[in-house]
Amino acid sequence: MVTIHPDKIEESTTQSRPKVIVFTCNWNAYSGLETAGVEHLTYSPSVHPLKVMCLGQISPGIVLKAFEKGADGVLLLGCPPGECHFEFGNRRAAEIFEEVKGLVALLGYREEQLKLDWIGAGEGETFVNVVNNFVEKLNGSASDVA
Amino acid sequence: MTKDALIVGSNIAGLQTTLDLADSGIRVHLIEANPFLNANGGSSHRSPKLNTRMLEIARHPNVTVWTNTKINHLEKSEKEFQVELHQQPRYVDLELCTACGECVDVCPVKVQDSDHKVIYLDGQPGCMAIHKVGKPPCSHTCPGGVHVQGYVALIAQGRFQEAIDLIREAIPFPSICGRVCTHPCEINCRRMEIDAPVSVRLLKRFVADWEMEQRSMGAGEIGSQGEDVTPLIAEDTKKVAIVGAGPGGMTVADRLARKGYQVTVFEKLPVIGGMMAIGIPGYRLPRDIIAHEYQQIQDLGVEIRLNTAIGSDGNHSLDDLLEMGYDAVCLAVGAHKSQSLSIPGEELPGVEHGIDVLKTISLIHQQNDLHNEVNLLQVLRKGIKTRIAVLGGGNTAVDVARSLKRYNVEDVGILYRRTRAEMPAMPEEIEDAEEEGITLDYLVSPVRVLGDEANGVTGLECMRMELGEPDSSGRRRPVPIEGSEFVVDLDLVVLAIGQKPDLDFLDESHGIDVTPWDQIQVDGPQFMTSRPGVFAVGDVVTDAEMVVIEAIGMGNKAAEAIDAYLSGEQPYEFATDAQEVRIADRVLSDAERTQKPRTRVATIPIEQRMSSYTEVELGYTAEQAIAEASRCLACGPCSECQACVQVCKPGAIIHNQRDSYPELNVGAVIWADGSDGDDDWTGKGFFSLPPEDPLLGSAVANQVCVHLNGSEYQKGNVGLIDTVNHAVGKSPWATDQSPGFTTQPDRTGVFICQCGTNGNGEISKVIDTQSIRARAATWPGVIHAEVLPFSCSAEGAHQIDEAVQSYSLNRLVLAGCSCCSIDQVCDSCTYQRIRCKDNLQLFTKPERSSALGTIDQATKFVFVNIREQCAWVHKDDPEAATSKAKALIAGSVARAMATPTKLNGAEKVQKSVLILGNSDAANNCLSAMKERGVAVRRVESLPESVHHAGGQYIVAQNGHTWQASALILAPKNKPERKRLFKAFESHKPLPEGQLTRNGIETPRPGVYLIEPKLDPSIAGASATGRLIAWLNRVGNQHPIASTVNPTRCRACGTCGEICDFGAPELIEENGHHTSWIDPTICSGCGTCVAHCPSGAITAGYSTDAQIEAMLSAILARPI
Repeated sequence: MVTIHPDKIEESTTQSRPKVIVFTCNWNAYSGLETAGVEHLTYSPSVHPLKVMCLGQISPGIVLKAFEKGADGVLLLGCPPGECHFEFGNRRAAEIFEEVKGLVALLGYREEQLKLDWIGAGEGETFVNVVNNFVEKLNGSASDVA
Repeated sequence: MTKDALIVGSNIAGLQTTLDLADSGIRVHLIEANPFLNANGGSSHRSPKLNTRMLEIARHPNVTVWTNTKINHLEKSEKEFQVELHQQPRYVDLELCTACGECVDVCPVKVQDSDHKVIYLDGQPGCMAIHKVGKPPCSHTCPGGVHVQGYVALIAQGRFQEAIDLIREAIPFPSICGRVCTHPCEINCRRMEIDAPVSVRLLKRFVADWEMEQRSMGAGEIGSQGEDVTPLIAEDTKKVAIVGAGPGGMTVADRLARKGYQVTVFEKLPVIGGMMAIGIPGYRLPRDIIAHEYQQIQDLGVEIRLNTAIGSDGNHSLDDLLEMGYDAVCLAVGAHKSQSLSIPGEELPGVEHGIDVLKTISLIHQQNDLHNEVNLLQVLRKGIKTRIAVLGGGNTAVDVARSLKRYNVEDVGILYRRTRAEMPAMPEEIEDAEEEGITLDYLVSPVRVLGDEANGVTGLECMRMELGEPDSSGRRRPVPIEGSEFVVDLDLVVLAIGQKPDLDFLDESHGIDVTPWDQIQVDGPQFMTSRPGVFAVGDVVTDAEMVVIEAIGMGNKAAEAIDAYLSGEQPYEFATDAQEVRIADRVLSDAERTQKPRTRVATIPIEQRMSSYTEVELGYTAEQAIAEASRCLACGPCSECQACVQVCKPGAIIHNQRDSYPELNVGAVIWADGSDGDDDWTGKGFFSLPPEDPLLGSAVANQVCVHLNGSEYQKGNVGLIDTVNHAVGKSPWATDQSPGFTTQPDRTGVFICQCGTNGNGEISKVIDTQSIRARAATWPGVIHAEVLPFSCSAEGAHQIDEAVQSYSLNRLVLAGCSCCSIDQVCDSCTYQRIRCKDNLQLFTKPERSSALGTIDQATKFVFVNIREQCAWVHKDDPEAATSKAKALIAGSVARAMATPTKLNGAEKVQKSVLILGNSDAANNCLSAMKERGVAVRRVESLPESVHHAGGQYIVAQNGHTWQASALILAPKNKPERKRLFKAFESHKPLPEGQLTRNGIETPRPGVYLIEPKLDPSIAGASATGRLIAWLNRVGNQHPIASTVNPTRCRACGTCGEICDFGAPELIEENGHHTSWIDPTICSGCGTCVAHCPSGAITAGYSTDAQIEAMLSAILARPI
């Protein structure tokens, strides 16, 4: 498989900024992400969204892969309890999260680097708060470690 | 009979009917009186789910949505209806609007009693709409075509530069009009109904003065965009000669010079301005104002030759001009000859013509010419003791009186044969005249001038008048009162009763047709005289004396006509254009009817006025102008200020859009607007829907289907699109499922949308699209990278198609605002995304000519949203936004390349239905299904077990089994309902959580429930309508179902436990056990993928291999 490096030369400015992979489900969480855009809200450019049909699809392996490829943080965003488009996907996602949390800790990543949260449909502001808080905590803990 | 259906209104039930009918293969015309669907649906807030539903309708190939539309005429023939619709314009192009919202930001007008501006977005179709009930009366009445309400609205917001730019677009003389315009706009202003009209003229004067002040302060060139005022004229350009430097001629000069013609103006007088400079006194129109405005026209390269007469005794004849190489000549000589009164004594010394007196005085002020001073002394032969009567009631009469009064003449009066109300002079002029001590005597008509040749005028014999019947002008005709003769002692009588053209300049060979009233005859809107290439404009062609703004208006049109003539095109038809315009006459609210007095303008003190020719009116301050402009009622309410046009990047605004009257033939009419139609509009073929009952919506859809197709259903040739028995349970081993592997070399094209042009787009003003394009072109596998202005337009799709063809692309990445390539409308989907995919023919069979058809689009076309996810959310950090967009696009390229070679194709489903239960609803449902020609069977006794295998629900009862692709559960009561649910447990429990989603659907695809509490007749029909719609959809959609690789599957059954839908099942073939996921049941969530212990399942939408490839690309760091 071909791996593409988007930029091998002009990375100097972005090198210092952490890269956060934000997995969103296709439904409520993605709607939150989109609403933030439609309402022209601003949030940290560290946030790199990656959409899947349902958060229940994210296996521990995918989360570990994100860290392996160099993500500074992984945020999993799905539908609020009771509002899952597929009824059960967010429950399954919570189970997976519990499983992968232990693995990630075992590999030496900090607690702040992985989080699971819910965003309601159309909740742009909630999305912004959740991702910004995540990035802030990540930066804070990173400097603590440093 | 036609199979089309018309749905009137878009309430919730109507939307459901629309979808069910469209899914059943009926062509549906959905008309909505508002610009947005469901605007009056009774729901105060539209949920994301409802929004989704409306988008599904907007994109459905069987639905045509007509917004702003009502039924104009409906006629019923034996079997169908002929309908004439009336669609009012949206004024925004649904094919182009990107919903970026910039127009909303700049729109100066809020709609009364609403929370939105005049241009707004409120649902689907998700493009802007302009709230315009008609043209504002002020703008409509302006002969110059100025967007009056527009600049008033801009002034109210303090946007002075935009206001003056808007005026200048229509007329070249805003400063002059701001002083002397007779303002028909004010006369038609609807504030008249409340208190007094908005002082439009003074507002125009304010912005014109403001601009002059800005320029004198060195603010630079005219025009906010730094308009180029250097001459536009090229060497080989065509030449036009204009005769007369008055407002009409100079407007033609201005317009033609802007179009690139070389224009020369020949003026007989020693001064510029025509009648404006010699007929309007300087205290009303200072000459430096005229000079200022004319200078701007001269700056365009127009040459004005003063003291240059044309004609028999002039410097050049008309023939000369044509021989001198002018391609067209425009005669704009005005009407400088005074009308005579035809009474005895008119020829006596001491009888003067008003226009001559004004000219004399004007030239004294503008020229150091002794001759004119002597002239004036002769007129005022008794100096300040000269007793003067001016005859007439127009502006000229008042101007003469006021001008002479400024020479300290004691006794100046105006005699007018009607009353003050009929005086054509501007009311403010009359007031000023009175203030200045001029006496006005009404209902007086002259009979004869008294005096003799030696002593000149000594008096005027007059008669008293009274008002009789209205004459042709609509004013009441003055009628003499018998025996009321009286004599006024006078030394000077000034006639100011009108002017006519002076055609003495035309020599014998002119070849121009002239009317008996000394006017030049022109060919209607072409403005051409009987001599080809010779045009005429202004007073010389009309029988009414024009005011400045009328001359400008005519000049605008004549310029268009001359341009059309010289470029060999058909001239624009102004006359027909005007007839179609609708004038805004909306009902004013109580709040709007509150009195707000006019802002008074300051004038110079009376002593200063009488001792000088200084301008009397001082004009508004900025604060006063804003206050006065805020009085505007916004009749339109759209002001046509053109601000939206200025900012709209795709050019989607169409202010002159017209009403249309499309005609349809339909077989059924369904009222879904809360009304039941007209009394005449009921009976067979008519249906009506209560607002918020989607259940009834489906039931009516079923009825309509039967009504339109009844007999054909019985013949079995329509109805279900595929009734062929075609088992879905294909051998899983037969399919090639090897994700992440491609056999063809990657030829990827990357397209980056700017959502605008160059650096000005919604995307490109934040993100450096060009640098990303340059970089993307170097990525492995990327053959072509291109930047597009608007990827969601038809033009954008065409450009992509061309590139696919030219570069033989087999993978496409489009970075814009769309976000997925699957045939599904999600909660956050938009009209523009759907339009984009439609233009790219993603879900329709591509036309033969389209190269896009060569690509497996749904899987190898990857969209990434860099507008909502980068440009709009990282505006303050363009560098970071660009860097992030680059990473996301790289991720999408990786995703496109990691696409499996083959995903699931669409599966055929055997379309058959089992009804479980013996309720009344079940009976109704059974007959309804039969009526629709569906393969249906009822199992009356409750089943022991229900499970799903091989694409079929299998129902077992008492040793018998039945199977069908869909089920209707119709329990009689709660205990029966419980037993039915229990029957599912042997396979997979039917989840109670989201039962009866949308009224009747269960979360299990193909399983419908009629709750015992529902009305059996409605519910039976409803379930039928909904289920058949589903049967027609399923198998035609592109599946995003997960797939199992049987060579890796251990048949552990975990996926079956995970999935609440019951899609996975364990099957055996040739002794091998494996799991198999039924694509008609699988909804594509991919949860089974995460839980499969052997990694045997591949998700339909995003495979793990794709996610991994995307992560690698997005997170790539420099080595």
